[in-house]
Amino acid sequence: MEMGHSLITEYARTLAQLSGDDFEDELSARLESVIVDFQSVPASPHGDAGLDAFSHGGERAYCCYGAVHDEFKKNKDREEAIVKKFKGDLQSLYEVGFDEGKLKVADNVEMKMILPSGQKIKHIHLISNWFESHRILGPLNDAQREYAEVSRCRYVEKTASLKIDGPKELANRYAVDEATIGRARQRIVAQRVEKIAQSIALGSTEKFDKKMADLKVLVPGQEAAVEALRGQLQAAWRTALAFERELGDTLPAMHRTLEKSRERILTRVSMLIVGSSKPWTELGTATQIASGILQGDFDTLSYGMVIEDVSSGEIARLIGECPVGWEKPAEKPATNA
Amino acid sequence: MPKLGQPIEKLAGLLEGSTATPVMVPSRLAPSAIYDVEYRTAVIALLFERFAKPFGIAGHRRISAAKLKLLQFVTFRPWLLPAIREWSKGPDQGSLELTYSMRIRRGFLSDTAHEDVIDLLAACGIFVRAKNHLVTGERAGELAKIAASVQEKKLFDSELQLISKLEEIPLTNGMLEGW
Repeated sequence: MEMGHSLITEYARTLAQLSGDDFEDELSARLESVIVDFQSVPASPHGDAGLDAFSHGGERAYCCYGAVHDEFKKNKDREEAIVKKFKGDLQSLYEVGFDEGKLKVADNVEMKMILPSGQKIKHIHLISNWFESHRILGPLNDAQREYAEVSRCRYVEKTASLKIDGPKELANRYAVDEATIGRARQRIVAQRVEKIAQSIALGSTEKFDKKMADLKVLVPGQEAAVEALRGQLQAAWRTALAFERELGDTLPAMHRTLEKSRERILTRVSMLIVGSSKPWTELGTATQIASGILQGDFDTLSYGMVIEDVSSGEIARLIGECPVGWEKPAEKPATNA
Repeated sequence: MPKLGQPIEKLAGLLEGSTATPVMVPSRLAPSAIYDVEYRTAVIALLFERFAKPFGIAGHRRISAAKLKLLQFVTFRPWLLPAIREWSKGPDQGSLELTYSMRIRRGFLSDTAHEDVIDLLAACGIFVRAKNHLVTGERAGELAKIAASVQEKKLFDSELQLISKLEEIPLTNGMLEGW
């Protein structure tokens, strides 16, 4: 059916665009929604032992890799990175490792705390955000066989099967609905905004710097806290600018909406602070005001994951670009007795 | 996306315990320049001067409307230049490149602010729409004056530098499709 096909295609494309933790998070959300006992494995306290998740009581293991797209100039480099990453995961699962070029048994102490006692993995599922080359199949299957020969197989059956999937295979496996697409799109937006924010250099920060210097004087003994706060405010400010840039580059009509939202945020925050006897208490709620306005203007199905950070960023921008500020109280002129 | 924490709440907490007095100067927040008609007109004038080709025997000049739209879109967004350069070279990495170029295409095609300015310039007799092109109108000399004035007064230096770089990038029909 055409509609179903297009949703699957779009989801596969979206998955392919995600990388790093965003890809892993989406994968977990996706599989959790279709596999009852899908269990993701947190990396704390000492790593995930090469296992990102398991299901079916521990019979099925999942390892995933969201390669950062910009890191590879050629597909060959991407193939090598995927093989290297998954070989590492397989070594952890099979408890083997290379020592002076020789494959040896290497205990994976954390695995005991992850899998149900006595359970061995029977199927290993390797999922990557890119699977456009068959050249990763041979090396990984060969590696698995090699590791199984050396391994004591405490946590994996010697005959465990191996399956490698990419975005298309994952999108095709279970039904794709609008909620799935919406969630994945939000991750794309969040990932792009974060990436853009990292590249933005804040210009003309003299007045912002002056405010932070004044703050240090106003709250003596809190220099370290003010310094940390400066970094957080600037990060939030960059996020607001990144969101603006993302909209301006890809959705100019939404950029115009953002401009109008900003005007309303400024008006509301100004009224709140100027009209209050406790202005700084009110400042604490300014983010909520921004969030309320932005949530009303931007579809939460598409932007929900970034709205909170952008809201905080918009208030930080008001402070950074100067409409909202503070000053030391005026010193009283000295009087002669 | 890493959570940024609650810097505003922390700031409010610090200020609450201080003697700081609030200062509000809403006028200090400048609206985005991309909605400034004069700025947009100046950029269009510079681009038209640089990229329009002679047309017909009456001394007219013309430019593809799609090409002008893409050129001005990038001029206002210099950070897109590397992406445009890559897009022009063709898809080296298959679907990934396609996805990126699709985003830029969607962006410039939906840039209605540009269309509004072109409508205004057409209404003023500066441009005449001729199918897929913009041709100089009876008052096109005004546009040339704006371009000359910008260069004479050494305004918009970064935009002029970007326009020079754009001259080196072939804009293919594939990039301008969708019209």
